[in-house]
Amino acid sequence: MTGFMTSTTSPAPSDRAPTSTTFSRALGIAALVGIGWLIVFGLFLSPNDRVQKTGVRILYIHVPSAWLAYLAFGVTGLSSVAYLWKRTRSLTWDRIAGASAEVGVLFMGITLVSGSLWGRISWGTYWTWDARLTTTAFLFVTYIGYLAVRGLGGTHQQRAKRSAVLAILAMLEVPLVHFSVTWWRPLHQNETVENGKLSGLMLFTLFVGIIAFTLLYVWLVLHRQRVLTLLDQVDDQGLDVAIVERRNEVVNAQEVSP
Amino acid sequence: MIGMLYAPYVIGSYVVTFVGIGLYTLRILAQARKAAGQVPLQDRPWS
Repeated sequence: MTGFMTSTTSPAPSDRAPTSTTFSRALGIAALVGIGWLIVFGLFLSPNDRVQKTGVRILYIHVPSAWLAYLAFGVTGLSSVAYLWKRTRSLTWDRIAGASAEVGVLFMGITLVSGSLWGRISWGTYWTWDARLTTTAFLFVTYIGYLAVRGLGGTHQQRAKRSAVLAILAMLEVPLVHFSVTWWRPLHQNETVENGKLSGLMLFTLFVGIIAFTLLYVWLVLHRQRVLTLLDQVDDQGLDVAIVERRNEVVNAQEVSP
Repeated sequence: MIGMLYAPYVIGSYVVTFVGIGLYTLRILAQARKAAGQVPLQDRPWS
């Protein structure tokens, strides 16, 4: 039995899922169950809205994904502060910031696409340059830029420092996007939940979406942060090999020269 | 139930969302497997 479990033809469990732990597996299962509930309630069990009709079902993924993007960019900003603060400086904060920004960009993209589809139903157009949509698109592009800056060369510390400064500046855009609906009164509707526009099964479905997406966010950031740790270690190994090779070249050159 | 009038938009938004999340998840897991082959078990703080 033991021989079967450690067979050389199949990888060890740690290599099949190298970034998972018991906690992350439980979290992943909980997120999957939540998403299943969201699909069932969002598409089948919740009623149509009196005004928006079927279009309200898009809000069950649009609102949670927007909330997740805000949360993700907030975590990126706070992790960047933790990195820049000398007492808590650690590359782990930088990796959490990078992982959270990536997941935030994913959810912001989902927010834009689902919002466009909802806009086509409600406004008759996929896109309009109103304050909420424009600031959201600007936030999306800003964090794509942040990810590009993370990919520039240099040491891990250089990457962490420059991206942390950018993340703190970018975080200032989040309240601008959120409050744009009250400051400029654009075409986009203002807060659905805070104004009590949803109730009963519709409100329940929205909260299922928020909880499911939040669990998914934690799972994704946890795994992505661990992948970034592995990639940094692979980078360090490559650097160590290059230093040894360079030293050997110098030693060989000294031995050959008279 | 979903009315037929807006069904393509509603279903499309769910498909884009979950296919996008699914592809990103697969990318993370593939990168993890690839990188883990080069990093010994004792260098993974979570394991």
